[in-house]
This record gives sequence, structure tokens and C-alpha cells, in this order.
Amino acid sequence: MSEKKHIDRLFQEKFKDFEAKPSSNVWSGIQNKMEQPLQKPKKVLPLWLRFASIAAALVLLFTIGNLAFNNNDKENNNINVVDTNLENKNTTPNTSNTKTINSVSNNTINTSEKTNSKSSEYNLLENKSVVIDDKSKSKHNIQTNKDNVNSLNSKALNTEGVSNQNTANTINYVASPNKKNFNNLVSTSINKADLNTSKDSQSIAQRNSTDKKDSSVSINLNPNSAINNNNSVVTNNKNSTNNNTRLTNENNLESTITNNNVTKNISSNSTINNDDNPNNKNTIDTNNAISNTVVATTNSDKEKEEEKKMEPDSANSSNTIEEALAKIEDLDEKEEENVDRWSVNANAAPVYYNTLGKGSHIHDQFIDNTKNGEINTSYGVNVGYALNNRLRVRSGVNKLNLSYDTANVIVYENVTNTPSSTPLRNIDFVPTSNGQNISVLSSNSLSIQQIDNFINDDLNAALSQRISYFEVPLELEYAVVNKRFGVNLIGGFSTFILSNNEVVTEVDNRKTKIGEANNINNLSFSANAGIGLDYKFNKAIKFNLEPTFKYQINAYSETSGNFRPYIIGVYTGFSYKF
Amino acid sequence: MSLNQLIENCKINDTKAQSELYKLFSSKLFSICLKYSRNYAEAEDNLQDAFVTIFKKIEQYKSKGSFEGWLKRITINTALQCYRTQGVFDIVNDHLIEDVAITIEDEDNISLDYLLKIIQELPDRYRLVFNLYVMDGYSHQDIAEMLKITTGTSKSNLARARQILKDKITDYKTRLKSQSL
Repeated sequence: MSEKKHIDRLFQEKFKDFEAKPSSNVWSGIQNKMEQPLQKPKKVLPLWLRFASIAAALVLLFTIGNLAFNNNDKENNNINVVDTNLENKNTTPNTSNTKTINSVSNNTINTSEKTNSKSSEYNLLENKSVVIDDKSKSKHNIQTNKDNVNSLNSKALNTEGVSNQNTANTINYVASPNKKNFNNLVSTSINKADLNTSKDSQSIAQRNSTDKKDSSVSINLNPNSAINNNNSVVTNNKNSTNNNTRLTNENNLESTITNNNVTKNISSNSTINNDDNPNNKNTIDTNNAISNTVVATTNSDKEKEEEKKMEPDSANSSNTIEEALAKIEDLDEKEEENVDRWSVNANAAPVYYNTLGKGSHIHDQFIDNTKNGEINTSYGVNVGYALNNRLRVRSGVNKLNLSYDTANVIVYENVTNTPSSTPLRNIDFVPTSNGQNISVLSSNSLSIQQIDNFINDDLNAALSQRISYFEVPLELEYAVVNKRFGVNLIGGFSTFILSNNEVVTEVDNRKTKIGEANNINNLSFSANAGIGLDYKFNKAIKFNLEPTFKYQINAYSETSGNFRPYIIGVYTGFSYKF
Repeated sequence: MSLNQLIENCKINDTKAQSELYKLFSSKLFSICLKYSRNYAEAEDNLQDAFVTIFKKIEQYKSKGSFEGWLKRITINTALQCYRTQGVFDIVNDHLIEDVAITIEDEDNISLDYLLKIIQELPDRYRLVFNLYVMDGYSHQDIAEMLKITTGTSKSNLARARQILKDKITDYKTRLKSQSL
């Protein structure tokens, strides 16, 4: 029986039920592989992110807070770096001051020297030929730094001393990135060397990849960036202190850029089919090490590539088969991941407005008056974006009404056109209907006898400051407990845009507008901290309760005494995830 | 334990569930590896890598589409990946060969082992294209994307693969005949 059959059919039929049992050592191999790397990379990244974000939030809060306190204490002559600098500029150079600053700068430069030499040692391990260069460079660097210090010492110029200190600081600060930078140099030069060897295989790679242009471009970039690095190091030495900082910063930037290149390079290197070349493998390893420290990615090659797949940017640069295969899958997965990232939150809150210090925003004479904040309302809409399942960035718009009462105030109308007593510098009064001017006095400033004689009780009024703001918060929310019932820590800051401002007097519940404050800034800020409690009804809908403390910064341009306003609000609302 | 339960347990890294899953699917997936690889040892390596990937990525499996299909895709990907990293795509002349129906007579006495052997003996890209197209039903468009080649190359590779296989089978049969005579 000779039946003709298409060869495809033959194979399809034969292999239809084809199964084969692998040997038992396959399973043991899988178990071995599973035991080692599975846990590590999954946990490292979020943990690192968590700490970094908490640290970032704290730093933000502290800097803003510190700034605010220093601003308020300016009158108390609290010394900070900028202030002394300015003061000294105005007066003749203060010798003791310069000394301390110079010594400080010397110290910091010493430390930077250490780190520099450290980095050069580090290089020694990596690559000898490059080390010689780097060493001389870093030495040179230190010397120029020293020279700078010396010249500055001789000049004893305060301002430059300060800037030098800054430089030293930044050098110190930059020292660790520098390390990476040098590493980079090493790796890029290795890559450069590799280029020659891998050129042959490049042609193969070109054949294989239709989008080869991308990968070859990233390779070509490398020598350039190496040159850039060199350039910047050299110019670094030439330039003086101020430029130095800027350049090291640039250096920094470049290092991150080249790091990117390096990471790209990994992918392109691995796309180049070049397994016979041991050098290439080495570079991949060293590159790995670098990008591990920089990007904090995972350890093994494969995982890196998996991560690459997730990144849309690198999708262009690395055109791997595996990637193309997984593209469809990954797209699906990405969509699913993104589904829950956005959320909208409507909230309303009773807000309480008061001040930390004892002072008045209106006038000196009211400093000792009893003042009390009132409870008002805030309402608005927020949009949140989840960075991961614990961190969420959110922003939005809130309408915020505030009021603040100054009690025991005497309000009277002047018959004369010019106000007799000193007018309140912080309030622009509106003339009353009968053309009379209004004056305000603190009853504390009058002796009791005078009050008895002059004033009726009903003239003893309260002065109420009404403010309404549009608030644009930018906050970071970290979920401590992320169950049905959730607990969040919230930190961030808000921008306040003044929308309405008026001063009214309250006498026997009669309210009359007498003017508006002229010392409220149109734009002010606040540092926010709060605790968020939420209850999830289902995946999408959540009830929030967020007691939040907002410390206002730059709210008033001129205040009397120690007037530091804050806002406490209990923001309640519902949020909807989509 | 149902398959879904098994998958859920695998998602939380339950070793027992993983072992169970392996027992269920290893034979099937190993057959894929055998077809896509050059030899037995390489197939075992691929299977191992495939299962490691499966266990790592199983949490991404969102129970839409068949689970077996998902496993197969990963296995095929792993097999292809092996050739990407090893960089052994042979350079072939891409000129089109007419896609004539190559027919085989009297296939009954050809053993599966022999067919597998001649598949494995194919040049790497021929083998991949042949497997993807004939065995696993991918279109030339899919294959072109997966292997970063043009559809024309894919078609020509397939035709070349068929031709080689046919020659070998014919050869095999004549040898069989001469033996039996």
C-alpha cells in the first residue's frame, strides 16, 4: 500500500501523542536552581525603594521645616550659613569666622582626598592601565583642590571660603558616585577594546536583527561617552572651585548616562552572538556588577533580561528573540498591572487653623490678645498613582476655608478723615458707607479705667481673619498595613493659592467686613504629615480617614511676634481605584 | 488536588505543588524540548530552564487561556532563547525555494525515534522553523517575529527543512529495503 502523504502530515501524526520522560536529574537540577535565586531579587528592590522613599520624604520634610524655622527665627538672629555669609559680606571680614570655615573646608577636602585615593585603589583591582591614568587624575584633582584652598586662605575671602566649603562638601558627596564613574571608565574602555573583537560577530548580529541600528548605535556611543568622561575629568582639574562643583555634578550626570549606556550595552552585548569570546563574557560580568550597584537590579543575566523586557525604553535597544516572543504576553501582563494604579479620591474635612507661636498677623498690639482658631471646612478631589503596592503619589485640588479670631478688640469709627491713632499696617480698610474711617485698638492697650470710661461692652469685638485658599497638595503615601483595613503614613507638601481674604468684625454676631489683610502672600506652602486609615469595601472603593497636620510656610509676609500658622484637618472621603 | 489549586500552591512556592506540576507536565514539555533541541542532553537542559522560568513566572499566569498552552509557550521560548544566547544561527542562503508539496510514501515502518533524530539533525534554524510551523502551528508571520527573520526566510527555511527530511526518509527506506532483501 503506497499512499502518498504530505510530509507535514506524517510528522504531525507521528508526534501527536509524543511524550518522553526526562531523567530524574532534571528535577533535582530544577530544585537546585529554585532554591538559590528565587527569593532574593524579588525582595531587594521593594525594600530598597521603601527605605529610599521614606528617607526622601523625611529629608524633604526636614529641609522644609528647617527652612521655615530659620526664616521665622531670622529676627532672633539665629545664625545659619547663608546669613553669616551675607552679614560678613556687608561688614569687614571677620577673622575668626573665616578661620573656622577654612579649617572646615580643609577637613572636608582631606576626607575627599581619602575617598579619592580609595577610588583609585578600587580601580587598581579593576584594570591596571586605566588605574595609572585615574590615579594621576585624582592626585591632580586633590592638588588643585589644595591649591584652591591655599589661595583662598591667603586671600581670606569669606565668600569664597564658604563656596569652597560647599565644593569640598560636594566633592565629598560626589566621592561615591565618582567611584562608579571611574568604574564606568574602566568598563567602557573594556567595552571599547571589546568592540574590535566583537566586530566580526557584530556583522552576524546585524544579519539577525532587523532593528540592528539601535544596538549598534548604543555600542558606538560607548567610546564617545568614555571620551566625554575623560574630558570632563581633565577640565575638572583645570577649572576653579565653583566650576569644579558644577563639573563634578555634570560628571555625575554623565556617569548615570553612561551607566545607562552600559546597561544597554549588556543587552546589546548579549544579543551579539559571541560566546566564543571570553572577554565579552567578562565585560558582561563587570557590567553586571556595575549596573547592580547603580540600578540595583538582579544578579543573574537572565533576570536582567527579564527586567529589560518590562522596560519600554530598552525594548528598542535590545531586540532579542525571547523578547519578541514575550512581548505579547508582557503587554497583557502590563495592562493588568496598570489596571489598579490610578485612583480618584473625593474628600471633605473639618480643618482647624491656629498658630504655634504667640503672635499676631495683624499688629504688635494684638500679640497678647486671646486668639483662637476656628474650625472650618476643606473639600476637594485628589488623584493618586500607585508606584507599587505600598507607595502612592497623589495630588489634587482642595478648596480650603480658614478663619482666625483675635478677641478683645475695640473697633470704632473715626469722624476725621485721617485716622488718629496709628493705623494697622497689615490691614487695608474699606471706608464705611458714611465715609468714615475705621480704627481698631486692642482693649489690652487701654487701661481698665479708660475702657470703663470710653467703651461700651458691645464695642468690645473680635477681629476675624477669613482666608480661603486653593490648595494643591503633592503627597507620598506609604502603606504600613495593606489589608482590608489599611494604615498609611502620609508626607508631602502643599501649595496654597490665595483666593479670598477678608477681615470682619464680630460684634454680637453681627459681622461686618472692615477690610482685608495685606500681608497674606498670594502663594504659600506647607509641609504635611499625616496618618491615613482606610477601609476597603471592595477592590475599587475605599473609605479614607486622614488626620493631617500641615505646617504653613511663607503664609504671611510680615507678622508681629511669633506667628507660625498650622492647619489640622481630618480628611475623610471615598476613593475609587480604576 | 485540582489543577487550579495546584497552580495557586505553586504561586506561593510550595515545593510539593511544584513537584506535582512537574510530574504532570514534564513528559509533554520534554517532548517539545526534544523536538527543538539538537540532542537529548540539550533538551534536558532546556526543560530544566523552562521549569525554573515557569515556577518563577507562575504568579503572572492569570488563568486566562489554557495553562498547558502557557507552559508550552514558555518551553518553546526557552528553547529559542538557548539559540539566541548560544548564537549559533547558521547563515543560510535565503533564496526562495518553491513550496512544493513534498510527499512521502508508505510511512508506516518509520520509527518515531528516527523521525526525532532527523529533526534534531536539521540545521538549527531549519529545525526551529519546521517545529514552529508544522508541529506547533505558528504562522510564518509569527515565526518571522520570533526569530527576527523575514517571512520569506521563514518560508524558504521550512521548504529546505522539508526537503532535507524527505531525503533522509527516502534514504532510510532504501536502506531498510536493502537490509530486508
